[in-house]
Amino acid sequence: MKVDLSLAIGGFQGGGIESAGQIALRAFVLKGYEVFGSREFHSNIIGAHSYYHIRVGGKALRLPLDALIALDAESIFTHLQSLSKEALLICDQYSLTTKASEIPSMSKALKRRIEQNYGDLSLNKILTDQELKIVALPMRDLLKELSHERSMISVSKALNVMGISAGLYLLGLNKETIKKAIEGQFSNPGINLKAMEIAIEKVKDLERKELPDGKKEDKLILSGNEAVAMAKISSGLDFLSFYPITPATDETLFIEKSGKIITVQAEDEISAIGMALGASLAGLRASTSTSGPGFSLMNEMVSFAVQAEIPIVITLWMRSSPSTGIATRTSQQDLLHAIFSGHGDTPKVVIASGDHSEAIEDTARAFELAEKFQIPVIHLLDKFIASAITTVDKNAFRTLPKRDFSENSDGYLRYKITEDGISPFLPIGRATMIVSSLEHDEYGSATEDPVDREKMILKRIKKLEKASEVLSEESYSVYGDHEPEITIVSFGSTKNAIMEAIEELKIPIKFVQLRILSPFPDLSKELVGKVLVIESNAGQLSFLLKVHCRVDGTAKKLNARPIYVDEVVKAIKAFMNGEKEVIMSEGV
Amino acid sequence: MKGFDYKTDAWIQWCPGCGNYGILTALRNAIAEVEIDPKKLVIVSGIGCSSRIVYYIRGSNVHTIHGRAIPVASGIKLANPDLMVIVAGGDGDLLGIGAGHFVALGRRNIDLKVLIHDNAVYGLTKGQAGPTLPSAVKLRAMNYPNSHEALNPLLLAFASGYTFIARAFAYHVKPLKDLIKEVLMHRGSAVIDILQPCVTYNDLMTRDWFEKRIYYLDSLPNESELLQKMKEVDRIPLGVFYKIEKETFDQKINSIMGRKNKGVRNV
Repeated sequence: MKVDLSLAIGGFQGGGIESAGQIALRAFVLKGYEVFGSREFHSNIIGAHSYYHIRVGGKALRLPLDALIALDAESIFTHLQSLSKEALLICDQYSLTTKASEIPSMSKALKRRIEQNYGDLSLNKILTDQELKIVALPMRDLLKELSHERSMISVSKALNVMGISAGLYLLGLNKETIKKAIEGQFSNPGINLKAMEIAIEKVKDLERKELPDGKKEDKLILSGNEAVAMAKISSGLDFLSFYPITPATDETLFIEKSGKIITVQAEDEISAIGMALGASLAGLRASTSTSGPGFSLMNEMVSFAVQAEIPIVITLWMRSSPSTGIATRTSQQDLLHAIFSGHGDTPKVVIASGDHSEAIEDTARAFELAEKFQIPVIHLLDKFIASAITTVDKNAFRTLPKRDFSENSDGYLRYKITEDGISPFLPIGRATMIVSSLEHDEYGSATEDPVDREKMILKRIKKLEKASEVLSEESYSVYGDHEPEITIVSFGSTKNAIMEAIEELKIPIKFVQLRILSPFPDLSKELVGKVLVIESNAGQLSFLLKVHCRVDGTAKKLNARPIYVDEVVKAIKAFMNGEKEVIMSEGV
Repeated sequence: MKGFDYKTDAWIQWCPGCGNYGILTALRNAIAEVEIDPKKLVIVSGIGCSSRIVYYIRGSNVHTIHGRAIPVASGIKLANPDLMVIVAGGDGDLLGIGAGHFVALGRRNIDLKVLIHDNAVYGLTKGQAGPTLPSAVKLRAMNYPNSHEALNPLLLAFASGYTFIARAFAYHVKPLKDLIKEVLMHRGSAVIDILQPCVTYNDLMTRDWFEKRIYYLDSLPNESELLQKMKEVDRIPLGVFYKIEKETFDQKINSIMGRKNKGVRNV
């Protein structure tokens, strides 16, 4: 029996939603299932609605939800229309008497939509006609039971564990598995184990079906931020400078905590990349991480790194833009920004990863490319991958050799003209030289001579051509049918939703997933039939594909939420029925 | 070694009589007297007339972009504490566009020596007001009198936490050389505000104008007179204003990372 579940746990930000989500993920992994968890939260420290969406039996998100564990009334209102017909709803008794208009933290827009659909009624009334399996728990009484040992305020923090324990138990996990998951989550799980006991005791007589054991594998459970951080450490990162920004900072802090890598908090993103470039010049393996607004500030340094030929890996965790946009929500809006970053002719490499495993692989690859070609490499990821948690192979991490500085320092020429454009690199401090942002000669001395200038610009471009040759085979992956009716082209975190949608549709579809977006690969032989681009922005990859090849339609995600399998299925069907532009709007 | 050993074959493209020549000579002589291996000498500059100095002294130098010498120099120094890293830039570069980095360097106390070629104008773009130009002054290329107040580099350095703060005059080459030697021996963020007349665009703050106003401090000012000395504008004191020893940023990072500090004095 294939187990396939989609569930969410929702509550207020700061109410332990993340811990509850992670307990659930861990429990299903212990049971032997494939899992994928996505965290959606407000740009707020405490109070606003936040939820964790978990898929069991797949690596992409699906709607509708089979189960919702709602720690408050707002969670029920928020996800009401995302629930399947007979979904399991676990909630607090008290929530059911609540009206949307009584919830101060809820957005006006959502209140308006609820009022339009249902009127200003309490949940009890709204849910009367529905076939949901509602388990309304007397949360206050249950907490009181727990408070025999401690104050009510301190035990109220265990509400998340009560909810998730009841939920997991009713979904078919046994008590032993849930207990182990809780023990794995907290260093001191005492009160939470008691909370679990109380919650399960309360629901133990309800109807449930024990889930069968899956295939147990010894894997790591990681967020995208953690996966990239570990990959950087494993790649031999020496130096990391950063300026705090969502959703990049968690990666940096993980690396800082390791205590093995010089980590510096800069005064702004210009300085963050500037310091990393300085460290790289001095011979260290260096990187910085940021998001769209920070990368805007880094642009002048991207141009400098190209001109002065300094290796650097910039990990760009895209979030919802423009400007501050929605800081804690996802998007793929920085594709063109990355490719065209930096003023002037600025050859660079842009890599995009579709999931955690690819992100790990691409991190090592980014360092190799940056150091081999002495150029900036921008590694494109997004908030969806950053905070999503899934299982990763323990052997996925590569180690890289130290940078090679074997060139003779006598008569050293920093910008020596060579056949492939690559000049041997010696760090600052190993030879006399000039590293220069001005146009320069082979030594690095400033020059405005037209012949020197032409040579140097061609040298820098030649490096990218060389990179293009090296990368051609690895620039994209091809999945699905090779004699298809349509070809889908996409990049980044849309990957797994597209793969699953294709599997489900059972029609001949080819999927070209771009891994390298600069230098842009030659896709002329790959595009068969009508071409559909799927992306989480207003058409940036479509633009590139129009320039380089051709495109017949675009399916866009613009609501700053992750992409769901179901909406991809619908979008492909709509495209096959002749729609040129489809907007995918699922998610809350 | 002699100052001559650090010369390069680049043609020097400053205007005849420019204060930068004095700084160049003083810096070359200072590093020669301290005998720094040119490979271990790292001059990092931003953009502007002064930033060209990286082409005129033999070293392992970096010419960065406008205002950003300090971040790049910080990365180099943290990566390799054995190097002698000097930052050179104008007042526009270091205190205008790069002011945030200037402040942050003071807060960090990284072992970098900052030389401000302070001429109060943007020379390469032909004479706009620089951050240290007094208010209401109209220089020859400006359309209107300066509507900004002048920034005091010494006070900003003090507020930011620099552990060595001095002022010098570009045409007094020997005292400047001695001061640079002292700064090279200091361990921590150090700054010398070097008054450097721009002979082409600053027709107010000329060599004569400065020579009528400058005088040398007899000794390191004590705490009670320090700020007053830094604030003086009618007469302009030169010399070392402030000097203390403090744990440097890389020492702190190393102790956080549980590593033994190399403790290398970088000359």
